[in-house]
Amino acid sequence: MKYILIFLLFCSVSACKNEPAKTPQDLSKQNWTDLEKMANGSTVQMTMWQGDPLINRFMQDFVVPAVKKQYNITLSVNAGQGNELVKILMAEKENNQSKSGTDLCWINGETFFQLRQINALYGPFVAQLPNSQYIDFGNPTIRQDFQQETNGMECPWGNVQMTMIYDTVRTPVPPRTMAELETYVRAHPNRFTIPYEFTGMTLLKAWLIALAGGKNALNGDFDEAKYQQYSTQLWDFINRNKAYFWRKGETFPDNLATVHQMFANGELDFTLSNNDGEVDNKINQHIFAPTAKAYVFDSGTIQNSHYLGIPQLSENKAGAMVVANFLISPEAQWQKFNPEVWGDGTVLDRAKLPADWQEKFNNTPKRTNSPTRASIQDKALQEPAPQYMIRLFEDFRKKVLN
Amino acid sequence: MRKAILTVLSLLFLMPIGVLILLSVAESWRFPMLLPQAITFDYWKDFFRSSGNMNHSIGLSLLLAVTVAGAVTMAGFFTSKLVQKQENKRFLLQLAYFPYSFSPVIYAFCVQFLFLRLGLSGTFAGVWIAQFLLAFPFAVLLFSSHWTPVLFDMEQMVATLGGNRWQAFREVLFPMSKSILMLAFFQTFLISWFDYGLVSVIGVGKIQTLTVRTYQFVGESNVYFAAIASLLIIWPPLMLWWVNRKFIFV
Amino acid sequence: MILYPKRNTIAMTFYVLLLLLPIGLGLLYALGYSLGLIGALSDGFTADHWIKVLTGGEFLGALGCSAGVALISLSVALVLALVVVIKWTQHKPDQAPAILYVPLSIPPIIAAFIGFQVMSNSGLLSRWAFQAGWITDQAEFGPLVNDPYYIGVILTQVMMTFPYLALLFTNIYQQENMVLLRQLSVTLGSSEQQIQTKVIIPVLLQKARTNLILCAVFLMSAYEIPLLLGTQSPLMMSVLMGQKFKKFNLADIPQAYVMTVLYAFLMIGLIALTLRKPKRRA
Repeated sequence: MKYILIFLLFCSVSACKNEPAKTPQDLSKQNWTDLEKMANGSTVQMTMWQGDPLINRFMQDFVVPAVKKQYNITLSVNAGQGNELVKILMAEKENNQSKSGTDLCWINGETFFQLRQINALYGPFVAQLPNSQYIDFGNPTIRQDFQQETNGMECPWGNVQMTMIYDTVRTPVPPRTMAELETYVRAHPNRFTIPYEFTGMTLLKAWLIALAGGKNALNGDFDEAKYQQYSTQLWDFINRNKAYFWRKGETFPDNLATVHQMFANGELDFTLSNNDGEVDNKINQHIFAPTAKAYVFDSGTIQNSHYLGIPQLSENKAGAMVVANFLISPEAQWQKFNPEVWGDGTVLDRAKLPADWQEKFNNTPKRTNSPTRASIQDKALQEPAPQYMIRLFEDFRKKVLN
Repeated sequence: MRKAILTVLSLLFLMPIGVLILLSVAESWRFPMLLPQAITFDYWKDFFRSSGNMNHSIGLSLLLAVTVAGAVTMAGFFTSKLVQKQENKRFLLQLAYFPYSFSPVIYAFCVQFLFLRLGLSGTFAGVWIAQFLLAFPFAVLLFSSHWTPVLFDMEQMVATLGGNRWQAFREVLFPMSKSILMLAFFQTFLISWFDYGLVSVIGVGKIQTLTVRTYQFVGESNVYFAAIASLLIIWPPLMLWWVNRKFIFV
Repeated sequence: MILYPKRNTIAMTFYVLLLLLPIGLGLLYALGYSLGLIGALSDGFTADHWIKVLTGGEFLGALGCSAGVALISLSVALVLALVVVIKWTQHKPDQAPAILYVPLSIPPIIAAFIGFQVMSNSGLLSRWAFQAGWITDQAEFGPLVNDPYYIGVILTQVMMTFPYLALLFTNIYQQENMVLLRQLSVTLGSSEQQIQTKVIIPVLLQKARTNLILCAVFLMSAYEIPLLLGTQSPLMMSVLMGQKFKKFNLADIPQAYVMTVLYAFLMIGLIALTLRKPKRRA
């Protein structure tokens, strides 16, 4: 009994502690020189996905030393991606924290939508970055994120397009339409699957857009009627063919790494990637055979950008902005554009760059097994509103898995 | 019979290690090859070059695991002894199961708010405390079957013969408890060493232990890096045990 | 030994607080979140999330799946551990074979990774089968992972659990002086089978009871192994909760907390039931 009373006493004391949050820092009126001065000598905590050794090397070997040398900023890169990041920032807000543990974060996909939902981002700040003058805001896949205008709340960092990856020996002629895919899987059962995660949902979104009539068909706000109409066709397509999918469609892999490995081992004929340059990276790392190649469906695939965001509660927004500005500089964008470094598409409008940088970009080592961006640009589809992905993920379980 | 058991167990348990070693040096190892087509050490070089301060992560993991295991083992040992002497020891032991009602990841999500409010989120101290809280009840439970009336009687006998508590511990309890203490240390070391849920949630990516780094590679398709990271995670516990068997307890 | 009552009370109070306070507060927080009282997207008190979870079917399905997988894994591990310990200690009850510590050095996520490398359709076992001529294509092998019966999950969990149990049993064997018990049994005319089934196994199981329960709870709450080696339907409990916590829809997070609270109380109830004092027979 006494333990229960002591326990309750502690609960009530703990529940009472509720410090009011500080007003977050607002640097919107500061000029760039002042921001650089504020950032000088500071530490910036950057949270990003660290699962790719090439990206890690780019950050550790190039970015970290460069921002130290040029701006005297110590950049500390921490692990955290997508949902984990959202959960962390959400918890900080819910618990009235006065400062965030993160100053700059890599935002990908629906994360921006979620962070806007909980008002966790600082901004607008992009216009204050000197290098933002080079960003290709004319490209809707850069200016908008999941159909939402970024409005300077997140800074574009890289641009990628989803591709299908196949092996030219096993599959000399890959299917380029949904109808051809249907023929293919029936002729080659057990060789295709859809990962039940972000990239798989990106493929489904592309198919949904194709069924809805093609490019721009699902632009704008989420439309329930359109979703019902075209998702019904989508589930019908999958369900009538899933008996020919891997494991007869009774299960779907939970993560893309498994699909990559099954493809590498010849268990599957296809894998997929959100990064159109990934097949070259994977071949260089000896994960895929040199006969692997990437392509996009005739009806198109989703092209989207990844961004940098600054949490509302960051205590070093100046440092974060200086680092973000560096990451969108021609120097940094060119470095990661190189397929031997990362192969990530640039968000810069090359026509706006000084001539010497334009030449550098033109002379970057070419992709070998990945398609050139120019060749697939006309098949680039914009990300539809985030609710489409949320619904596809939920309904895939209800309509396909169960 | 013993030889047969040893042979089967050795094959069963060393085979996975062999798979990891081969994967870490296989230039190409695709189906249906039983062995890699060629060997290369490039992955090891690339791993340490591109993984940024892996030594720091290894050191951090070791520091965390050794200190947490040491503290938990001693705290658990004496707490368990005290619990056994209580009238309501059954209830007190049942309480120790409470934190294990769910996996560490879910446990971490539940207690995250507490660490945020206490300013411990993203700190070494916060992760240390979180791991201590998770491992401590385990140690109490592990030791609960160790405290027999015989042990208490022998401790009492030391007191009767004029010995103090430190002598009782040094001359009686510790020698008789060596194997369980080592098992508890080992198991709680592993709880900390292998922990991902608490470190990633309470550490918010700032406390970059080896497991946090490893999980990223295992979750990606780079099987070679995943194999290397896995070997780095496995070898300290193996070494710890070998040292224990060879030099501490004959 | 003189007992110090005041010191004991302080120590036990501290012990109880250490155990209960963090997770107790965590569960209160989870309860508040699940009822819409806490949360960045909450709109005030609501029982909707509870209704969704209790009527949705996912939670019960995951519970059944987790219980089934845990029970099978533990049973198989138990049998293997008993066989190894009994045969090993039959003639000389010294330390357990050192090799048993090897799997204890492997964390769940790596065990799952290895499990996939060994048991998948293009894994090591499949390659052996191909080279031996038993299969002509990868698709003919298994499935042992990502299969509807959780075979890969069970096998991996068994591989991780039975060494721990074997070590525990060996320790108990020495602690309980089973050598003397064995000698006594022989003196009284028992056969080897009787010694094993009437003496050794009951004593080992009785003494390891709390550890076995802990094992069962751990296996039910497994996350990494079913995440990599399990299937999509049904999901095991921690994987389902992880999905609700971490996937795309933030509106699912309160449901994750509902499941957390429900599951915690179920586990606590189960443990309390299992650990209750056995009734004395008249």
